[in-house]
Amino acid sequence: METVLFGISAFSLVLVGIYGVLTRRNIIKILLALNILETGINLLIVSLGNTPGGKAPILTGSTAPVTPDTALFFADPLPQALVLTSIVIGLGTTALALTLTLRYFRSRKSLELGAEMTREEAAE
Amino acid sequence: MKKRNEGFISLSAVILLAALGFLVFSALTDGRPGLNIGSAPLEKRVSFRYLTKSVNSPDQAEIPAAGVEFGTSGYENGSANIVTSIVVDYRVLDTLGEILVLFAAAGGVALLMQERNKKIEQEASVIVKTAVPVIMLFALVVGAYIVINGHLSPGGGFSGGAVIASAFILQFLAFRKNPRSTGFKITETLAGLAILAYGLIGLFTQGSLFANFLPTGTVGEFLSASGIVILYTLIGVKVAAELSAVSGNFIGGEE
Repeated sequence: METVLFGISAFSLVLVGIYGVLTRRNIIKILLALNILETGINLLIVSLGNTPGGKAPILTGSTAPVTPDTALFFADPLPQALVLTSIVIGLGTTALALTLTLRYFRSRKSLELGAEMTREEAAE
Repeated sequence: MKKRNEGFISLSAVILLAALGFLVFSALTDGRPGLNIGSAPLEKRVSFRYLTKSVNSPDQAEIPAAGVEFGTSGYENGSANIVTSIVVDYRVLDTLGEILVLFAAAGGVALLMQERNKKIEQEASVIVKTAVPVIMLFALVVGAYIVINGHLSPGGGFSGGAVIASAFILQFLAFRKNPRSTGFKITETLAGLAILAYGLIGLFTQGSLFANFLPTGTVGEFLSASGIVILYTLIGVKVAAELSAVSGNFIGGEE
């Protein structure tokens, strides 16, 4: 049940993201939608590792020894580790995309897709 | 801007989303074995090996019967945080690639931001200038704590590095002081080279890149988990320098 709930929330975020990417014309709005889409995908991946009632996969003084039987009490750690990578790469791509957007704005004086170059820039 | 094909684009968006939604919903709820992602038992997943710290032993019988317990030693990895043991030990090559991607992004931002228009700046108010050093101190301490406790509690080099970078961003915003200094680039380069050197020591002493050459220690102690503290500290320094340099490029200002 929890997994389905997570899946529905993740899918709603992906839905908002894809809709924004496909229908917006402002580059900043497209990047925002791309980030929402990415959040949805990260949530989906983490939710796949969810065990009903599972704890965070960290050994503490109060956790029982992890044996083949008690390993089930933890959430799956692998998706969480992979999502960490995905978040950092998302940050890098967003920073680079914003830089490119700034250059685009400098030459076109507009953030709309398909804007024409201003006269001074085109003359160069 | 002309609104050409607006209806067609919206229609295809809705159709694409409906197909995607059907796929995700059926993958989550289909009861037949093998179709539902949640139907795979944990014993059949890779994560089972990570949780019981038995990746190097191919046979299930080799898993210690007493299990992995807090405060004991002698495992192939001594990290109490199992996610960290995957990120910085078992799948460290992923992390190396991640660091390279972040490096490429930071380098790209620095390259594209070279010709920066000088913008009119407003001086920060007295309140901001007084409060920022205090907040900076707390942010640096919390960031350092998160970085060096990555193997014991949630956290690590990436999140802690981001917290440290936020302290520097506050400094840029309040004082406009050297936001594009070369110090960040030198720090970042040195930390990156140190990470590679750590991997190469593993290659030459143990025979594979990033192999553990330090003792694994006791689960739960600060100096445990064979080099995760060292690696995560280096990653934290590198990420903090990279993010500070990227935001310094965006904020701009005098050299």
